[in-house]
Amino acid sequence: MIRNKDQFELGFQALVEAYKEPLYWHIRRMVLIHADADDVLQNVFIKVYKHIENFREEAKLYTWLYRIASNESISFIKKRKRTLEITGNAMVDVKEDPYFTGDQIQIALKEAIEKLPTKQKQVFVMRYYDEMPYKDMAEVLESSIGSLKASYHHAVKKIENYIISIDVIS
Amino acid sequence: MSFPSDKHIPDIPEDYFGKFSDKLKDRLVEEEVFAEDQYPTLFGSKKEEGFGVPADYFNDFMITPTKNNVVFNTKKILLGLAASVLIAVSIFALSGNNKTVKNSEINSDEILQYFAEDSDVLYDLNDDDLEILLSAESENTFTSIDEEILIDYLIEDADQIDLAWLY
Repeated sequence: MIRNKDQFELGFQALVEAYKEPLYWHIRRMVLIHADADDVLQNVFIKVYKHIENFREEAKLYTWLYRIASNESISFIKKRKRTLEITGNAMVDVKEDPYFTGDQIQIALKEAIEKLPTKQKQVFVMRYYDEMPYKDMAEVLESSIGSLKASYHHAVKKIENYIISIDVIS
Repeated sequence: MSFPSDKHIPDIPEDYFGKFSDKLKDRLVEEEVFAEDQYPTLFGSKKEEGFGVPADYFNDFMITPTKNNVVFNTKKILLGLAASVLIAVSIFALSGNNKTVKNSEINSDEILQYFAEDSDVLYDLNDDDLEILLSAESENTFTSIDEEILIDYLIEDADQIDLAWLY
């Protein structure tokens, strides 16, 4: 439907309806703050709207959308990091988001994820939260399954160690 | 010794044995290289995240494509509008023209009306900011506007949105 010019707008609306929530949660886990996730989500759909012609039908639509969402999130995070460095902050403070109601463990988990290198962060969010199969992750991140598994394991180890080190469990 | 083909066994799905090795391969691909119980803190806790969204956020989320652009209903539209007004006012200021924006090509009443109607989702600038932005009579027209956001918008995102529909 999305490739049919006559039905394009209808198809686009259907696509937004179908993917707005899963993409939002993926983005939110990456950028943490609701207002930022909202911005990125809109950018994603605008990109999709403008570049739908580039979609290869042999690829899964959802992995293509995830790739755009993931890339947009990363470029947003990089931009935000530069701004934060200018203002002297090390990282985004999720506690400042009025739409975050997590407890100490959830805050620690967010901090640990925020400290991960970009690739590990993407892989961790996709696997741990989104429960995406490695096969699809490989397509989204254009990476080998072996390297994704290694990245996920590194991320898991780092996060576990971080949570233990700050002693929020006891 | 021969085994019966699964095609003749009614209690298993068709071609079960034929597809079994593929299923096994897929399963192995998805297998982790570690055991989750090695990391009890992470895997022992629930995956609750503490994230919330504003009421009706997903119901209200809408992107409306039109022939030449995409119209969307949160703060970017405001920044786009504000940027356009900023450019228009700057042109007036640079050319020494003391006319207010109301006399420019932009219909400020319409823009304010737009803002008023969408004030619940446009939250970066309030109505006072917009009044100041639209008033060319004030000497410090832009002091309460985050020019950095506007400039950033103009530099970083100008290619994203077609603002021609404003004029």
